[in-house]
Amino acid sequence: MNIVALDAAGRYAIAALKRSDGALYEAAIGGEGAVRSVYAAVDAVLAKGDMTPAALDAIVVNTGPGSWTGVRIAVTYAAGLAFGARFKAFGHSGFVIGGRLTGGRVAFIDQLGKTVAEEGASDRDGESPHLMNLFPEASAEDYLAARRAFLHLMLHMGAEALTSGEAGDPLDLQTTYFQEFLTGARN
Amino acid sequence: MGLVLGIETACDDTAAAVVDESFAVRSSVVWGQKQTHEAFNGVVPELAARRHAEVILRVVKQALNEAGVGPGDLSAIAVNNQHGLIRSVVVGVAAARGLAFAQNLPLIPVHHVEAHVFSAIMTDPELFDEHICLAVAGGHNALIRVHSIGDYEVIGRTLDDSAGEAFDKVGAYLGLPFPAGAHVDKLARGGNPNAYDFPRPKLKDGTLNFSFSGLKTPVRMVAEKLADASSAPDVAASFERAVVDVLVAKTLAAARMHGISKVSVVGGVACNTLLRQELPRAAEKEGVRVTFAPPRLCTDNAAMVAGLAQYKLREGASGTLDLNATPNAPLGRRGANYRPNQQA
Repeated sequence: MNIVALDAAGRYAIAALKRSDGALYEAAIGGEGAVRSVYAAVDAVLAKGDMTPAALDAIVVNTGPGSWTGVRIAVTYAAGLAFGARFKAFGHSGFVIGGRLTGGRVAFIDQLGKTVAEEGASDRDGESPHLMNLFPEASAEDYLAARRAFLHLMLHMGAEALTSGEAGDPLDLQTTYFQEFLTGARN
Repeated sequence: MGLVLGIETACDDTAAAVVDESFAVRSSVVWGQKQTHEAFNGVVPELAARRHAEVILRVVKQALNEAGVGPGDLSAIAVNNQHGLIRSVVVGVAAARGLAFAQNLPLIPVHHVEAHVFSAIMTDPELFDEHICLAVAGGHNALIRVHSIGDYEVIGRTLDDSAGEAFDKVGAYLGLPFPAGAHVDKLARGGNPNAYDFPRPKLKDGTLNFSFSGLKTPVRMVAEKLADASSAPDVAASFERAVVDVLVAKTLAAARMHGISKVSVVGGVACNTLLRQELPRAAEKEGVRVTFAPPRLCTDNAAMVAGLAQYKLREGASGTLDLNATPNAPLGRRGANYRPNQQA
């Protein structure tokens, strides 16, 4: 399975390609504005993997919350690619990805340390949730390392979805806005 | 046979269309956002962008289905990337880039206002020749000397509001739904256009510029003092008459000053009933031929985008995948500026 993962919710547009032979390619683009970065990241990762859109089986996108423009462009571009080349598209909110990444309960905190959302479940009563900062002031290296973990999980989630036969209709791909997530309108 | 898919997301209409080499519209789908914005009496840019992102691929799919084709049957994709609300325009560009990259198709950049100019040319081949175009809508209001396609000279522009904007504001004063142009038009049909003597801004200033901001205030003052709704049609008709008087006079003055006997009218306000009656009537007396864009091509749509792209392809455009949103781009190769309060 040839799968691309795309995340433009944060400071960089990051894409990863996992080819069916197991080879993994990554590209992170920042500093060019959200819109150009999304295109450049996808172009770069496909070029590195010597792959065309027609050869892809799926794309997995972080649907937000996050940079409104970055997320919106990533989701729309991914949907356009998938619809045009007839492959599947899956979207997951950053909260769901983060929750799954920690393997337990995760609390998302804002700049003031206030919990704004919780995701996931713990087997042990009273266990403190893992804290995940929505606005990390990390170095570029640390930040990208954390986002790379997101991408790798997204690739895995894409493979799971393909294996289980999920529809992955590109037309169903939608962005997740923070308020909508909190009110349960969309996840 | 080459088919072009056009995509248009300049403001609050999400549109896709398929047009063939003879400019025949195979399909044209427009998904409006009236319900999203009517509570605000205007378009909220962030909300517009969100709605575009939600529906753009569905609109594209419907346009392809109605044309009876799939992405693989297209020869190019065109998108308005040069005029409109930045957040809205980038959504259309993202969808277009994705589709074009997926099918390895040329991506043709189109200017929204130029596409409006072309909307009349698509249905009237005589307009491939030099003519004057009155482009009048909610987001633009200009008199353009079309030397040839791609070569434009803005010879008049609004100094503040567009006529379409004035229609929307007056509609709000009269309690009409947004967007109000068609509602004001309908209400005016039952009113007396001479009931109120509203000003005709810049009618006799000797320029080809417009100003509709000052017309709104006297209309608002009258609307606020209305004892009951029975006089609303008179207000609408009198306001409409004032706007149309100015549009007709300035358009014909442009034709006289530039010695041109062909005029086109495009944009949402080109649907206005009184303008469609009065301009040809007045023009005939001066030997000027008037063409209105078909109503379905007047309001924002993607058929005009795809049509212009067909012309560009015919003229040798090759397209590019590396295309971004530049929503304040000047018009045509002369770099004409059609926006308010700025010199060309």
